[in-house]
Amino acid sequence: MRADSIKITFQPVGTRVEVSAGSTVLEAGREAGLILAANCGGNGICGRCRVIVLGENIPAPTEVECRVLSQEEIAAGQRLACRSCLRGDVGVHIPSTTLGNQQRLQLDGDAKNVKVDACVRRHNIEAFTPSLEDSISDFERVAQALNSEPGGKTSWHASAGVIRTLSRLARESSWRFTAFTRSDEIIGFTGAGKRPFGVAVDLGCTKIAAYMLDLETGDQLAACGIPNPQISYGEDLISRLVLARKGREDAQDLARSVQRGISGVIDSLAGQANVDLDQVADLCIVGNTAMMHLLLELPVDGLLASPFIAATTSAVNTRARDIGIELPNDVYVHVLPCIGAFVGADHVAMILANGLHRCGHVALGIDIGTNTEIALSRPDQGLLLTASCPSGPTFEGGHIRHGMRAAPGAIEKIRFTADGLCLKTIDDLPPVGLCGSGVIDAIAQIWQTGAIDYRGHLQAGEPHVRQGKEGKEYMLVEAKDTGHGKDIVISQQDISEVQLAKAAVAASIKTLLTLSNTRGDEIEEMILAGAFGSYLDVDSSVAIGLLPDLPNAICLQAGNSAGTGAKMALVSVGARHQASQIARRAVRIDLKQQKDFNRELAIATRFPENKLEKERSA
Amino acid sequence: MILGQLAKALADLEEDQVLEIVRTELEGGTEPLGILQACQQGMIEVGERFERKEYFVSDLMMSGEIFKQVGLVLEPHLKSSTRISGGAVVIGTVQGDIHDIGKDIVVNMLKSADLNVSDLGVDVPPDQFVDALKETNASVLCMSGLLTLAFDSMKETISQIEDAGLRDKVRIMVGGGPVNGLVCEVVGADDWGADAQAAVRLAKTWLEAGASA
Repeated sequence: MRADSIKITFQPVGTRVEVSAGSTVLEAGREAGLILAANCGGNGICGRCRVIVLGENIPAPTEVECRVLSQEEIAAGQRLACRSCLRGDVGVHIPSTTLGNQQRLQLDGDAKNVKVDACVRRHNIEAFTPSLEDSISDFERVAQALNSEPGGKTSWHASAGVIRTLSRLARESSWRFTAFTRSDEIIGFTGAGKRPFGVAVDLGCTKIAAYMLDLETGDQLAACGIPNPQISYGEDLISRLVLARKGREDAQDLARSVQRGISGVIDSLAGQANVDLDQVADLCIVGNTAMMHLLLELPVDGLLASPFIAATTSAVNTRARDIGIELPNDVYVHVLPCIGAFVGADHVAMILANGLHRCGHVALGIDIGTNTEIALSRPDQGLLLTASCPSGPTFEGGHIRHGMRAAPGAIEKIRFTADGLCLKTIDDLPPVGLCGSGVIDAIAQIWQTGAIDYRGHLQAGEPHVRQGKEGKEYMLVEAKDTGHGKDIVISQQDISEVQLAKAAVAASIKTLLTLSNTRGDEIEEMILAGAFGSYLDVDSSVAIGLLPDLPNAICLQAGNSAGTGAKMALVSVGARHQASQIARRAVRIDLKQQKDFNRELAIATRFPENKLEKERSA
Repeated sequence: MILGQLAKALADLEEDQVLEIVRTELEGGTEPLGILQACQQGMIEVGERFERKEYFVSDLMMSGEIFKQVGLVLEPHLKSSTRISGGAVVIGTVQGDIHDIGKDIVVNMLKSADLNVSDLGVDVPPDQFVDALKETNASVLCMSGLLTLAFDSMKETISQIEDAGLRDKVRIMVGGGPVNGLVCEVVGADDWGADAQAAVRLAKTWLEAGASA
């Protein structure tokens, strides 16, 4: 390493680059193959290239920056990418407005068949205008209209805010409008004939995926994804939890940032779907337990240390405005229940979406991410086991020398063919790095050529294996074929990182199978959920031992199942009940308490076809 | 000759081969201590390969597991008095933290270095560390932790060791993923280990210095 070189990590893309001290953020970005918006060509004029510099080595603002940015912005670490000269190792967060091209965020997720039965209902109010003979209050008039519906004998109530909007709307519409109710509460009004819509949110650690659905038909009208704005407070959840624990103000800042993110997403969904905000009548949110705590401003102390106790694992119903989401009507938020401190509402939603809680066969559901959650359903024994294990950022391209998130130019698929290397990049751009699925493919292919042994050691003398600056490496794509004019390699260290990450997943699955006396050939279905699970190559994953070889299982790459589960719970009260049952029924296995877990872990770092493993399973 | 093969098999992480040789040698009447020493030799080689960046964390994990299996086979045959020649070390993952992979690697490497290791496990409260130091008379304490909150526990443990009047009798090192020189200073430890091999080296240096002093 050069003495004057510094390391820059770009978030949320996850690309790392080494540049000489004094480089601008823009130069470092280009070096990393990132396209930053720089409309004025990097002359410090347009102010479009705003970034947030993170870490200890935040450079002092230049004169130009002091002119373009406000004091608060500068204090918050905002700088202009074209002006800010970096002198030490830093992280740089690139807001989505500055990133010229968008990181691929997974939004899809099959909407499963669910009987639509939303908890918010629409009522057409048509009432006579008040007169001397008919002089009851505006609210009673609405209540009377509601009770004139067949079977209507409810004692209605509403918040002051809702009643406040009523009188004017009633007069302007000549008593022809729509009321939304939720059990015996009137939660708001909209114009005559307008339908209620809801928003389902999958609140991830790094991204927010949201969907707008028609609460009467269950149809999806719009989808939208943004990076989780909390990233500027810390890439990993632990550092955010530690910050939230520091004090009320910090916890509020964290909550506000994600609440504003959700509000923004609701606005843009409404815009896309051409829906008025007063038609938004219900919200449903899923996410991991820690994210739910940060969103709801629940105390996080218990999540940070053993024995890891959540403030609540039950479903939470609260008013949107109580968690900083301002909407015209008094809309409620339903937050799905969690199973434990490390198995969250997103996993409950995954189980719900894939029907793991009520399938008739043995099934395995796996959601691989920084934390991997696993569910094993054994209906014959009435068992639903869940476990989670930390698998680190490796599968998102983190800790990998040329790793990156799934952004344009990332290698997502690789095959070694007779004609040489065959690869597919996102948006078919020249390659600039590898995303998680590309890393798995690359290592599986290298393993199959024999360039690494079963311990994961690169073998000197094999083709493409060479000695790099930091140990052995496998030359994957030559500089002349890449988007940034530099070789793309898989280093020995990368292989080692993947070994540790895949071992965590593999050992966890194996332990769940052992505990429930389940043989691999008994499993009939394997569901891979989440972004990584949807893009990874199953054969490559089995080849390196990340996933078990299940001879009788159908493998389903289910997409964003957490989002699907959130959508189901949004439009169906029944689905909410099922979610609560799942959370109650699921047995959480603490893998660390299993005596042989560390041994399984050590063995699982190896590549599968080794003698050791074969004899053990024989 | 065959013990040389045993050391090599362990260094190459060939578990089946290691266990086969150990059993054959035991049956053939080879002195158990000699077998153990050959395995320790293999573990030293593993550590050296790790330092040369030929081996990685996964290899350390595997070597530790193999050494543990060897221990299980040899245990009944070893006389307790002949087993330990080195000094005493107390080790554990501090209160509030349950990470044990790194700690276990260090435990196995310390054991293979012939030290008398008291492994207190994970989520160890400060008073348990203090009690163990009193019981074993150990002159080296290793505290491990990966969670940020673990640093508070390390600090608290050291403060209780001071209160118990043991601080000048024991040298303390801290380790774990995010631990660095700053953490070491803040919690009041004597030194820190960047990886398992560094921790073992440190422990040995301290024990040798203590023995000669």
